[in-house]
Amino acid sequence: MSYILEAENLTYAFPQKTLFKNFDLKIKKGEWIVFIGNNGSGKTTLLKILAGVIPVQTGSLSLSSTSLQKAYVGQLDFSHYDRFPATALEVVMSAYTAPLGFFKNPSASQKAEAIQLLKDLGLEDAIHQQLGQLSGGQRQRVFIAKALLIKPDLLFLDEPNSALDSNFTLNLFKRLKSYQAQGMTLVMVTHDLALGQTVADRILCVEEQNVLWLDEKAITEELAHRHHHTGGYDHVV
Amino acid sequence: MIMLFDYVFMQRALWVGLLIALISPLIGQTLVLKRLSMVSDAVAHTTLAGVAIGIIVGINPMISALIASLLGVYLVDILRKRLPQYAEVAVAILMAIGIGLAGTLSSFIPDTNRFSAFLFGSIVSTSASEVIWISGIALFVLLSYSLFYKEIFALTFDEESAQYAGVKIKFVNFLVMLMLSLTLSIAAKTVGSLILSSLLILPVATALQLSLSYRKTLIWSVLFSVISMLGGLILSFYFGIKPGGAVVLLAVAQYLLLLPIQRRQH
Repeated sequence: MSYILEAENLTYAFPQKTLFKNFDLKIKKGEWIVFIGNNGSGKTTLLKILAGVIPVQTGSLSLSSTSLQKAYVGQLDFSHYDRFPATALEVVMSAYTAPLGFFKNPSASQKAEAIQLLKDLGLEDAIHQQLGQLSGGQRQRVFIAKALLIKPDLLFLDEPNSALDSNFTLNLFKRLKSYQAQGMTLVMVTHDLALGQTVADRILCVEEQNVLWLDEKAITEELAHRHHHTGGYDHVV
Repeated sequence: MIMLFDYVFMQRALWVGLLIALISPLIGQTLVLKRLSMVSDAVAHTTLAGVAIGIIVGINPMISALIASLLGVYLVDILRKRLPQYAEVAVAILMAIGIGLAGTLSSFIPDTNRFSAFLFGSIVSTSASEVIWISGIALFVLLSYSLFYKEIFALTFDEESAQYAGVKIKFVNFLVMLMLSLTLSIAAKTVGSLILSSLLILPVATALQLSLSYRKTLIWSVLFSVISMLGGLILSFYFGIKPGGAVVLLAVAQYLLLLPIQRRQH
């Protein structure tokens, strides 16, 4: 079996706290993995390590190919962009910068693709608006659109629906499911176990220095414990 | 009425002023948006130290100013990386080094007028060889900016995510800082180090009030910069005032005039 991402013996610790120890993870191409866990459990750190945003402390991390396209959408500091003079389209189009390399500019069809993606994510009115004039949910969708535009092989998402209402969440996850069907691999952090159960192929729980795979029974028990409603995302899949 | 273009010195001043006004906001926009406005001020001070060294040693002060500003930019970059939480401290340290060196070294220059010309500029005394230098550097900055526009946008918008995506950030950062050093060194003799640092920032701050896209903000910044530069030069010619001061005051006036627009939008 070949894997798109393999992590072995990952350990990550702060001076006063170990987040996880000797953790192994193998992700198949086209899988959707979800991390859940309490605040401060280390799931965002784990996601960042796998995404290559922060370096591995101990252990090893390898991808099936060095030419894999990766994209990472972290938790956004929305206020950071309040006064930045860039439209939603300019932000999304900047995703082409690295793939195109020096001296090439996006073509008309690539621009049309970016506009279509923004429309698909319900942002048709925001295309030419300055980022600072958009709501938190709109900004979150702009950054997701930026990540999706280059159709990455591996997409890392940290609570991608934290600022979205249920309609846009449904729309977004339907779209992500269709990308998954085309071969995209997704690794996502969420607090919403019900949503995780609906979209994920496997769910990992990061808790108290342990990283555990949750089976159906454990998920059902946990959901009952949390009094979550599981019916809300039925039509995502 | 006396015509501006009757005089060679005014033709040169207008041409050089136009070029500096065109390139300043290109660099200024990145500095303002990355919250590094004070970097231009700090590097301007190290440029002055370079000018002093050039005059003392007897080499072209524009060359020594360029070397000093490149060293200044490099130093601020090292300090920013060493003190990531206190980027403004790095800028303050560089400014202190620049002021300290410029002040001390200026004591060794017998002709103080020659040194103070670099503080506030003497655009009307630009020589033919300086015009060629400035034209070449301005062309380099304009070409570099247009060739690397999308990379500079990515750097300005979010350096970390651009680096993650694979944009060659180190090179782009170096290019922006090189453009800043070049602009400051050529401007030292013409509009003056201290005045240029205002010209880098003010037109961008004015255009930001219009809440436009990145590209349009850039275009408006250049327009405001050209208006204040040419307007300042024309005013100085007819009213016999110092051009540098007139240019900056016009840039401030534009900013103040547009303030009500920003207030209306928020």
